[in-house]
Amino acid sequence: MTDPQLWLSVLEIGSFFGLIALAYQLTLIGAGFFNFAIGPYAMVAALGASWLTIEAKIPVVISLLLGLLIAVVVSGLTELLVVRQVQKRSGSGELPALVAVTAVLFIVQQGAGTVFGRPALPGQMLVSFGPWQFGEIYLAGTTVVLVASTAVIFLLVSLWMKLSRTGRLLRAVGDNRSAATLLGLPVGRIRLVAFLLAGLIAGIAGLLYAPKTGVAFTSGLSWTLVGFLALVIGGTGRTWAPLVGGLVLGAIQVFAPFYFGSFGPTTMVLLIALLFFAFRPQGLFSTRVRI
Amino acid sequence: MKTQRLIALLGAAALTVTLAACSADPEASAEGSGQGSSANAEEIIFGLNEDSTGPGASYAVIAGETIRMAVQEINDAGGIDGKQIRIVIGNDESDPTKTPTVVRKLVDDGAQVLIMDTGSAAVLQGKSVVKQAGIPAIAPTAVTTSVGLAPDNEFTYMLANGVDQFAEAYCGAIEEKGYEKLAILSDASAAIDNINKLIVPILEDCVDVVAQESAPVDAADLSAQVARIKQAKPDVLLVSSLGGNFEVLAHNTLHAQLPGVLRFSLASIGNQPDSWARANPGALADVIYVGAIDKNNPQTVELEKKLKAVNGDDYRLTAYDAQAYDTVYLIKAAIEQAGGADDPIAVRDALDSITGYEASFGQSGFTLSFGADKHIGADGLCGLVLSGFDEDNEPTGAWDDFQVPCELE
Repeated sequence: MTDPQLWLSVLEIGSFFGLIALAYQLTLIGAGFFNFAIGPYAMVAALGASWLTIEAKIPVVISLLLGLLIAVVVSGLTELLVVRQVQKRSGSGELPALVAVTAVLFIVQQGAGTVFGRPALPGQMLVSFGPWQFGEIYLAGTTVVLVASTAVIFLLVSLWMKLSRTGRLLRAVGDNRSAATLLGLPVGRIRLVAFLLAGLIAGIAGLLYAPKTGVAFTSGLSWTLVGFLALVIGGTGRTWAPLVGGLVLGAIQVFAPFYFGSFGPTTMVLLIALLFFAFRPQGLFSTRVRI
Repeated sequence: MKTQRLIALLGAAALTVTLAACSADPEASAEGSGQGSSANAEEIIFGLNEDSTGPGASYAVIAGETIRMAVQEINDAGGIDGKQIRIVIGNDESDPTKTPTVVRKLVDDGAQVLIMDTGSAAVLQGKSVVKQAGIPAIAPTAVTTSVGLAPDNEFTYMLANGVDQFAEAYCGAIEEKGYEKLAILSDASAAIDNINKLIVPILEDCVDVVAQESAPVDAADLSAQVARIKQAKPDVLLVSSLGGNFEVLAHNTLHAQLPGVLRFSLASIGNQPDSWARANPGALADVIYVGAIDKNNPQTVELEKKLKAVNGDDYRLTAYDAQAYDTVYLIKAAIEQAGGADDPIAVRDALDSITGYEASFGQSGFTLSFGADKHIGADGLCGLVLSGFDEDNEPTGAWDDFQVPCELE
């Protein structure tokens, strides 16, 4: 636990997990269920941007913006064409929507493989800087960008939720959807905003993480799973909870193999997830209700 | 409400796992002329078990595309004895538990020969099913020797040098360079587990193996494994993986945290151009991999021209391309010699009689031969070419410091 290189890894992958979990949290607040298509949103942004840069020879900055646009559009379409339609026909229960977004997960994944190709592509960066060596510590430029961007995004989302009208409406819808509907709040529009914002954050996460080892159409599923686990650990009671969950999950993934060898990471992650499901399903931070 | 949410959550988790499994289930589709479940008089059906979505996708897709190109080339030239080739496709995701189902499905779809474009562990699992089905199967990219050895190898073939010969190459280089302490970083796939069981005992005979670390194929970070390796103070490393994301992550991490320490690798990294671009700048400069491409081989040069004509001038020939291409033409030669594909025993016997086939991979003069008791095609060690990279992560060709001798087995 004293090796700073390992803590740097915790920060790096924990930030990524936290961003994916934040995207989960927004759709959970807005629509009341876990959107398992979040990982593919991140993947399609990164893979799309890489494909546009490498294969279509489009300038990086435009490719990155188009990648983000793809993620936002796919996320919005998930709400408008899939979730909303399914819930309209089957009531507002969670299970039909969960089934629908799980189907979207695989559709987006396979669709991205068909459109952008199945070989993995390198992640794209606006500017390349670093790496730096501080004694035994190796610090990549991509790590700095990922961690700094994560902090900024969490800060902005936190402020948006507290200070903006739409953010406060989103919290109101999340607190009590039925009451919000009865009060005439624009629940449908708020849900759409939550999906669009989730797509944007997931897309940014994918773009920031892809330079680490590249991105393939299959990346979405594993990103979905780690983001989900980070949210389960962190909970939904605070805007910062997904980041805490991501960092805890990152610490498990880094330190478990260091102390327990190859037996460690998968076993520890599953064990921790099991413990949270059993004893604290609301995560580390639960919502406080004022009476 | 809480109970409902928990049930919904668990249900969704179960559904996710189920759908993940379903997505990996044998997907049967057909390519080429016509559709249907069995061959008609005017066509020959190749069954292609192609891992296009699993851990072997990084190489199986490359090989699969070249298989299609070779089939198209043959069909454009009139087919085999006037019959067009049709490909039926399955995908076992290199998962040995799925392979028997995929193989049976391909046979049900009318496959008359099988191409096992998947992980070695999956091919091993499929051997007995192939034997029961009684149709020849070639694993173009397999490097696990037991694929071509008994038991149950009566209908199963592989082309390349076995991975135990990789270990001979590493040992030769390790002794030549005077390395004393080797650390191994592996992915935790079934295929690599099988490969390590073959090569590690051989390596232990020539060098002190001071650390063996592994991580899941989809690991997000390898810093912990590399930190443990650093504690063992190795002077040479081996990255044993299927390639793809894990291999890139391994070399990025090792290059950063153990700079200057030579890293051996299996064949994967040399055959995956997309991985070279994903590695950090200079991260592959200390990597020596077991390649199989030598530009002095005229067959290799010829194939490269064809691939560039189809895929563009930027296309990079890999050993997977060459092995896939040779597989299709070996099958063609066997079917022609057998007088057709209707009698699988005759096709198998025809394959067994092929000798001195000039391969599109390996050093100049490297040949492939089969026999009733020789189902590993490589004639000698000339199929192996220890190769390296430059600072731009571009292959530099044969390694100057050491090459495996071209001795006949």
